Amino acid sequence: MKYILKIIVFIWLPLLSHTQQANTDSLRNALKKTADGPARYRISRDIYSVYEESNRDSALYYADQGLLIAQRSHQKNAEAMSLSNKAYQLTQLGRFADALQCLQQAFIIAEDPRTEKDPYWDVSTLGFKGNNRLLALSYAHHMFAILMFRTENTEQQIFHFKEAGRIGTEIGYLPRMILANMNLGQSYLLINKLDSALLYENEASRLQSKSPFEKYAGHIRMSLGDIYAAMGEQSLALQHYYSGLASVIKWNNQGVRSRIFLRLSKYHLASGNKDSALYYSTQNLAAIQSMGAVAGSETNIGIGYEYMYLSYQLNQRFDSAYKYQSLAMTAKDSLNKVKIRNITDFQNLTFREQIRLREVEKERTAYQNKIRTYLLLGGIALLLLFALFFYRNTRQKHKAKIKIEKAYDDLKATQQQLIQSEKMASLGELTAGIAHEIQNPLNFINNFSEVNKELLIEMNDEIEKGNYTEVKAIAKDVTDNQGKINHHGKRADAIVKGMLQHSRAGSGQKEPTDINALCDEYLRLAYHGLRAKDKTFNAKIETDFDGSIGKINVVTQDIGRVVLNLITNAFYAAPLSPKGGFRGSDYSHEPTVWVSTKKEGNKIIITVRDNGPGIPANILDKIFQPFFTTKPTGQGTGLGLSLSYDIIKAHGGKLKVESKEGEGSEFIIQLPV
Amino acid sequence: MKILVVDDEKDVQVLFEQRFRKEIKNGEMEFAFAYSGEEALDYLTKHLHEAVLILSDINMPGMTGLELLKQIKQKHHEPPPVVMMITAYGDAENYNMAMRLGADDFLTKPLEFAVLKEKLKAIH
Repeated sequence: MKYILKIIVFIWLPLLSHTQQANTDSLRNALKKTADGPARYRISRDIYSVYEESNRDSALYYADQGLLIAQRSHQKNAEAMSLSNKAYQLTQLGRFADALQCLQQAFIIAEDPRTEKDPYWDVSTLGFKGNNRLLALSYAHHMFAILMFRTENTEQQIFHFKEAGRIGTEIGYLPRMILANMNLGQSYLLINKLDSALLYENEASRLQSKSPFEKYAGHIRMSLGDIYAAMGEQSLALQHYYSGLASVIKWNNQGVRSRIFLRLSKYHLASGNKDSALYYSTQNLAAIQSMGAVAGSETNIGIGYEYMYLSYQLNQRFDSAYKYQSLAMTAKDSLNKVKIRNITDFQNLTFREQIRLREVEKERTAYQNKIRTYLLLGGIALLLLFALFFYRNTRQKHKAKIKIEKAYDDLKATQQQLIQSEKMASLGELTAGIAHEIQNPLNFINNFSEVNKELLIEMNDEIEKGNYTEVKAIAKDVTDNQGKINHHGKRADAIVKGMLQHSRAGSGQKEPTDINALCDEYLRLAYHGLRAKDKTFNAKIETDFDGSIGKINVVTQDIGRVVLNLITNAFYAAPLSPKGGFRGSDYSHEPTVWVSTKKEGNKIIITVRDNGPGIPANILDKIFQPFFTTKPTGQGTGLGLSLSYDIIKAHGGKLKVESKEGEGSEFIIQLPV
Repeated sequence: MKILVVDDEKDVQVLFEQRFRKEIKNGEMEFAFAYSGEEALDYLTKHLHEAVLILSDINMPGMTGLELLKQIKQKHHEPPPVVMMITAYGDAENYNMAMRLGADDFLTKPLEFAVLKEKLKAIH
């Protein structure tokens, strides 16, 4: 069975190589003829793919070609992909320092979101239509992990393979997922975590079976074989190695091919199978030679010579054994030197890189500090500006407030002055009226006192004559006259008092007042006052108080004066005959006075009504003027209604009158609540 | 000489009667009193040509003294009686109005009876 397999492999290999050669030639021609652009890049990518695992130098050359095309076309995604390809080849060639530099550039490009703005180029192996930047990033992580593997940094190796797999899964690109799992399996094998290794490798195998991407199927078989070998499952391991060998030959994966040959030759050497050992060692060497010497890799020319030497030794062909022994020694020696130099270079680079990164970090910190300082200063300046602005604003508002308050105070004072001056003005306009009111009593006072002087002189004469009848008559006249003087003196006094009251500046404080109680009180005061003066006076009183009024804010004494005035007027008018003027009242009607209160919205209405003769239409508009009166001379000052009007106005209310001749009058006070 | 005094102040009657008691006693002067303009016109109609002198107040309820003056000067002619206005309104407006309506004199309250007597004697 094994033998047949080997035969098939041997017949097949040259055929395949031959087809691939023809393919590569036509691609190379196409590359020459095509201008820079996605198509040309694609061709270079395809040629690279052919050489990727079969010839390191050619692969490196075409990776560089792709890189140049991408750079000339300013295609960042393609550039990052080619940089990763180049880094992979450099890693496999043991040029770790150069590989690292390429990968650093690849990361800078693939981590920059602006890269996504590139127009779409097909940069992947299988033709990927998703996010090319993330594909390139996954690729860079993968290649970086391989570099870490080759420079023996297992921790970083596992981390970056996982990153590569995570991003590959995120964008849903199977080849990336397959390779990440495959390499993670190998990585865990490296640290002897066989269960994890098997888990990842099986996952790679499962994903691979769903994908047309078969290039690394052989690699997965080999890895599985390695894991089973580590588990002590020799036959399972061999089974996987042989199955892997078929795949790597089909896909011309010389790297893995040599590695499988190496494993088989190791196995046969250990088993003492002389022919097989020599056969696989020879195959191994041929594969290594076709790839090019690889320093630091598992399979290198030194290893190739060593197994030849060991196989010839087993076959007891000591000439050849000796020849390969010395070849192996020389190659290993020089390869070791190269390996040491490469590792040193890499370490130097990473050390320099670390210093450089530290410098960059320092610069960045310094820059950030500078920026932070500027921002802070800017912030402080801005805050100061705001503070200044608010301070100014507040000051202006404060100033404006003071101005407004002053204006308001001025306005209030002016209003007060206006009310006062209005009173004074109305007083001034009526000096003539005042004169009349004062001069009339004075006329009597002056003249009666003079007459009395004359009368007393006459009386003296009559006393001397002994004419006592005449003396008595004169004495009676003098007494009467004194009464008149007194009467007119009081009249003048009342006028002056009323006048003062009229002009007095309002100083009373407003207080909550029960309007109903106030009306009731003044109603009784007025009624009994009149009854005391005039025994014949009588009038019916009707009240209708609205209990819902409650207390309202007024100057109690002022409103009381108004109510008293209106009620007194009503009591005066009510008994007068509705027809026939003030005199000759015959009391044929029933004098009645109505007092009522009512709440209407936000107003209080107080009504005082009488059924007297009413107010003639021609004087209705004059009744609120100071000194206007319809009462016979001496009975009224003419200031009552004028004063009442002013008081109600000062309270923000209205005093109105409705009257019909012959039917009576109604005075209505409206006060705001 | 018959004098009609028109004033709404009733005490005016007592005052005049006492002030002119000598003249009344010796028959020199005779006084009639009216307490309103209407009453005065009524009196003048009823006692035609009796009163030769009218002393009238101006500020009275109802017909004012000035209205009365106007009526007297228009209606009661041949010879029109002498009308003297006696008022507490001593202002220029009242004075000018009274003079335009034909008042013969203009006296202000409080009344100086000594001055009034002189004027009455001059007419006499």
